[in-house]
Amino acid sequence: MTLKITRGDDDVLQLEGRFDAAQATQAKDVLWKLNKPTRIDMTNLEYISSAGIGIIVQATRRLREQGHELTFFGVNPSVRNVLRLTGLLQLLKIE
Amino acid sequence: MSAQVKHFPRQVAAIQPVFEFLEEFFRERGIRPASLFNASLVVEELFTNLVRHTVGGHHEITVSLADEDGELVIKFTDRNVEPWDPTKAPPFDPAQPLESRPLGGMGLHLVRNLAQSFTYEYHEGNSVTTVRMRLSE
Repeated sequence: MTLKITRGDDDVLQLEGRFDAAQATQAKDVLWKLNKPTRIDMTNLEYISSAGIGIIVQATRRLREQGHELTFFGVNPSVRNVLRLTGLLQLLKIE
Repeated sequence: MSAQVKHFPRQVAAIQPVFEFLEEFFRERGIRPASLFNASLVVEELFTNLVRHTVGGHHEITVSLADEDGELVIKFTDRNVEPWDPTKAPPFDPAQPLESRPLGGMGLHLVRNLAQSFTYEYHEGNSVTTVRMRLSE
């Protein structure tokens, strides 16, 4: 399964499937172009690796530089554990 | 039971068939899927690091999977390469602030945290990286 990125309601972006190194280019194209406060729905995100985490970190930095926030919700326990191990649970805004 | 072995092209896109190999191994051996997320993570982080960092090399990386005494044993063999020891990579500090943290090093940090053991051997041009992970009961 690959990564599917869908725009939901106005400020929501849904990530579904697997966010691995092979999906990096596609994800950068969307996440690095965000220019307003955005909520990322991870309810159906099954898997993430350091490649996906790196893109999320950079997307968050870019938005914060513009004075906006990236908020994450629906994070499953396995994805949450990757965020915990990389020290990001405290550094990202997670609902 | 004997290990299963497969060869994959030395490219990041090959992580997809590597995942399929891992999932098939879990199915065939009747391993509970609860361990699949972390096993996929370890496999991806090491495979992509080998693709990016190893100098020289055969055009394929060999992945071997075995289950022994409640542990998953994942072995990567890289032929005709210069030594590159992933176990010696500098540590990653997860306490670093978001704004200034480096993006490199997270993958091997995850491997160190998820593996029971993480070892490297180099012999006559061949690099062998082995990870053992405890499987969920």
